[in-house]
Amino acid sequence: METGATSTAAVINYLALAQLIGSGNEFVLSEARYVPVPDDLARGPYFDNSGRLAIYDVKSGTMLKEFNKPELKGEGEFLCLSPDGSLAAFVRTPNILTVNFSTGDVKQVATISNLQAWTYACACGFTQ
Amino acid sequence: MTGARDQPGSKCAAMICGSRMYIDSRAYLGRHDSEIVLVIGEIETNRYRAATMVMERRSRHCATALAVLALVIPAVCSAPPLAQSREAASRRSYRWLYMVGARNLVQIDLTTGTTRVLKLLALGGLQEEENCSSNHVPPTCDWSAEKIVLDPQNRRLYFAAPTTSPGDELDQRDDEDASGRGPFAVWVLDLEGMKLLRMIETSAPSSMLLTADGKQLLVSHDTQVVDTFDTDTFAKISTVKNTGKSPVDAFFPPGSYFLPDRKFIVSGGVTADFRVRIEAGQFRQEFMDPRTQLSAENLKRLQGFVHAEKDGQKLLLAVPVSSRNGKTLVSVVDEGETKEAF
Repeated sequence: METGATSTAAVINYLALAQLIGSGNEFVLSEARYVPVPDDLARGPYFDNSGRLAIYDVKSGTMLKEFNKPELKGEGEFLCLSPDGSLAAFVRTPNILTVNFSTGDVKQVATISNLQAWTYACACGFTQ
Repeated sequence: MTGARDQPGSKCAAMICGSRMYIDSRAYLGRHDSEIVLVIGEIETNRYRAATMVMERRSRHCATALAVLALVIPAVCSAPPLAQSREAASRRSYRWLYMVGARNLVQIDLTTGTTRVLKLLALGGLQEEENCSSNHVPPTCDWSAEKIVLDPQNRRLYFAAPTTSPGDELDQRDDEDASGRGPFAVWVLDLEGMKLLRMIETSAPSSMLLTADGKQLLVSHDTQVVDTFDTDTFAKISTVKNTGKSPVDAFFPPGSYFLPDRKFIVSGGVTADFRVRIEAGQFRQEFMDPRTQLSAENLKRLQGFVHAEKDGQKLLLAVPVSSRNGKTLVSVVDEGETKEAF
């Protein structure tokens, strides 16, 4: 950060939710369509995911891995990463999923009835 | 390990494990003088494994170390690389996932799937009064946790919230921020015991941030005052105020975090593009557009991400979307909203 080294990592032909993973040398893109929902103020805008995940190398911009995960398809978002950056919590109402970026495994860990963004969206974290 | 006090040099290098591996030229004295740590590298992956041996103090010479190492080579060769085994161990051992909202804390046991949804109010020993469901509700019913900071490493949760029960009728003197919601505090919850550890009385903060080690909590008010608290004792360590000569400019948006050296606060938020420098006890914002540091070649790749204005072509708005280990991923979308660059 102090040195301010900057590079263009990747240019893609779709819109995506993005997150740095691991130790910060890779990032994951979740292909998504932005849905504004202007007529429903109570609901607000959301992202409609295609289920496709692509992992890129930060320095070279090369795509390293690609997963197609039907479990992630639809409205949903990443909440947080595990401390080592290998695992992410993903909410796909009413289910909570974990996504392992090394293997591409998606696991449903919980289902919460009446799950609304304000009940979980302020902070998130994994512990041992 | 106390450091490289005894470096035998390159003569220590040797091929082992059928030439798949080598002993690095470094060998360190361990925590005790009788302990020596040898670093063993795997040629193909360039990953290190370590072997620790206990030996007589007088025998900490390279040749002796190698001879002793011969005894443990079979175990070392069959063990997974150090980095890989650490990574696998940490991945295996995540047991809990916490999610926090304005009124609730969700705790998920990742091994069993057991889920608990807990009310923050109840964890603090408060409960909602009946008059919050009546037609005329007092302003204190607008109770919610704000500026939530989760510290998974130390299993702590910090948030700012009124200290009075929703529904309580307040005297005017109790209403510190004039919102009608009553006096505020930073609530500190222990996630292991699921109990309230402390309420640190303060006015409603504009943002809160933990240092990377979780030892200090910064609470800023109107971006002009920053209080720093010790999270072991909950004592206030310092207060930095705007004196006019030294303006305080500290607002920490959600997603902000400290670099380990505590010199910078990096913004990872979606609405801001700056970092806060801490120098001589002062907080100062530095605005950045990372594209000003791009090489001509890299800038060329962003040609599709410009729009025309009267005074020429301008790059579209870049937004920081994620930060980790001092790196910030910045995104820019083209005008047709069909392409994105990072």
